[in-house]
Amino acid sequence: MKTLVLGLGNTILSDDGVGIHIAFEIEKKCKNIDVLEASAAGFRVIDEIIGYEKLILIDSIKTGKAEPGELHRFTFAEFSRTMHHSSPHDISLFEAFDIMKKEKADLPTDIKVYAVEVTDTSTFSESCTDEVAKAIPQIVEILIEENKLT
Amino acid sequence: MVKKITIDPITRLEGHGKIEIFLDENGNATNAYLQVPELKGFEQFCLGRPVEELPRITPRICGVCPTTHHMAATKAVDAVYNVIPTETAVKVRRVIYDAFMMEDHLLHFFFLGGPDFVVGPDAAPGERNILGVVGKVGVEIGKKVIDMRRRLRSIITTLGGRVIHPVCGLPGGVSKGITEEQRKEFLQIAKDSVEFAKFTLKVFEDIVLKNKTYVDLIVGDIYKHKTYYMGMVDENNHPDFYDGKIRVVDPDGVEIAKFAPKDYLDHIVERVEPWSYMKFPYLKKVGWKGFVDGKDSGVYRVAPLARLNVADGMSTPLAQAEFEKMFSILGGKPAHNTLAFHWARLIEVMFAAEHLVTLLEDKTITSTDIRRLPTDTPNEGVGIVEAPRGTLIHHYKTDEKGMVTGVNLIVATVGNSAAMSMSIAKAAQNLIKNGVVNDSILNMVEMAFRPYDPCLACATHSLPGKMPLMVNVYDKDKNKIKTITRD
Repeated sequence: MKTLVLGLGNTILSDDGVGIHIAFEIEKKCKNIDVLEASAAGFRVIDEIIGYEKLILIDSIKTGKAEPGELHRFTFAEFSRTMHHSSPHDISLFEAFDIMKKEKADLPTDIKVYAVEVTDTSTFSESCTDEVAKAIPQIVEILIEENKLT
Repeated sequence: MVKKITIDPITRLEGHGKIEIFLDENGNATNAYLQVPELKGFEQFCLGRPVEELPRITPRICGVCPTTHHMAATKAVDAVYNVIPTETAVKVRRVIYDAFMMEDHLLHFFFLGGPDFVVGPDAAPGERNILGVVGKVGVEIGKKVIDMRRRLRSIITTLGGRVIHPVCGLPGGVSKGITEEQRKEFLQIAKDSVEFAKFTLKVFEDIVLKNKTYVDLIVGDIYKHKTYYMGMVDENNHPDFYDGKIRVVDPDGVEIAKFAPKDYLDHIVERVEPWSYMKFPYLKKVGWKGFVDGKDSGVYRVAPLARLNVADGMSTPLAQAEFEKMFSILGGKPAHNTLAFHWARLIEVMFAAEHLVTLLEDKTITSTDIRRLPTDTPNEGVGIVEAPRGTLIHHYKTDEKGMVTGVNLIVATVGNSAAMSMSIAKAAQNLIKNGVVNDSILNMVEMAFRPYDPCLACATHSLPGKMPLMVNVYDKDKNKIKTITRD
């Protein structure tokens, strides 16, 4: 199955880069996947997803209801409820996905959405906070195992 | 009783602004401000790094226009090393930049500004969204937009050296040139983009200009501010996105300054307000008079309409014709109509498309002379480009080893920060009366800042991706008395 691991976030904003760090760690251990990072979303990345059968999306999230470094799993449907702008200058990936589906683009059918609970996404730093950084190796293993990545 | 209304994109976790509108005891809007969250310590983060890293780091500031920051940073690094890039390198950078301006502007018009114009401000909330745009223009057209943007982005990816985040800019040049095969392929894309620009302007004509309600909104007073304008021009005073001098005109269109990028601090002062992390730049020569327009106020505007307002014309024929048409309909130059930013954006799409054709018809662009190695001791440099959202300034200082000792950036959205708050306040004052705040009024208030296409901060992508708008109304004691949610 042609698989893309997409890390979303910003690697110079502390924990915001956790998804990208995880994606690159997975790349070191697996050969039969493509890995891409993006500090953007919506229409700015949707083109890169076309042609893949499986998409593994990894991002950061702040629910405040979990411990830093805890892994959340979402279904794609949970995010496609609204069609309003996710920002004044782009739409969310999920909205872009819906539009592309309408346009009959060749999009992945198997989509997994992961997000790591984070604390700091507003301080400029290339490192995650300690708790989040510590969780990365384990999350990498879980994602490889769960998705049978090789 | 003083009421406070907040338009707050609540589910965006970081990197977003909110609008606060203040009502007086009669329920009429008195003032409005745009607030943005704080991102701490960028300058500190850059200090001590090799300056060549900044073209890779600064694009991370913004999830929206990495290409713009990469280009401004690369030009600033050229200046730090006092190296003039080769002719071919400049052409390659311009190809990337034209393609980027087009794809970004097209995204804005069809999908982001779209809900305001293409679907219409009065459309039901359920339709006033992206799918509403696709519904209005048709699936086929949606496909054309997506396809055109994909092809333009393929130019950026190929020459930029990396998907989404370009890494091609080096002091004195670029890392990769254009092959003859690529030149032909890109030229075809460029030619198709000229046709696409014609088509886009036709969509604007049919949907917007032929609709009296829209035209009345564009030329009306609600969305109008008589300010100064700033933009980069070439030697003929035509807009140039990549290089040139910065020209400033007054509200009557008279040139009051034209300066080289390195002299920007002689002309621009950045004001700090206690209630905002965003700075408010103004013209040094005119001075700060508060959040007001007019000739005595140093508030200036940047971005598409500003660039056209400071220009004597366009350097390409089809864009020139559109330039003349727009100013004739708007009643002359400069045009102060904020909603005309959308229109000017499309004229810039045409200009970028035609300019791209010219660049790629030139066979010398495939020369392999793509880099001049720097030999001078690094010191200090300023790089300016016109970002989709306006004049973008990068200013770096280094020690003699090229390690960063100082960074100052004035990003495009900040150039418009005072004007944006003024535009929101004016729309609110005109539209919110006697405490009546309904959904369509808030749409119209939002329309006041969307023309600027504001880009507020960096962390634009944390989950979840859904974003209803929430409006909170507070009484004078800041008790929440009303909540309107749209999703």
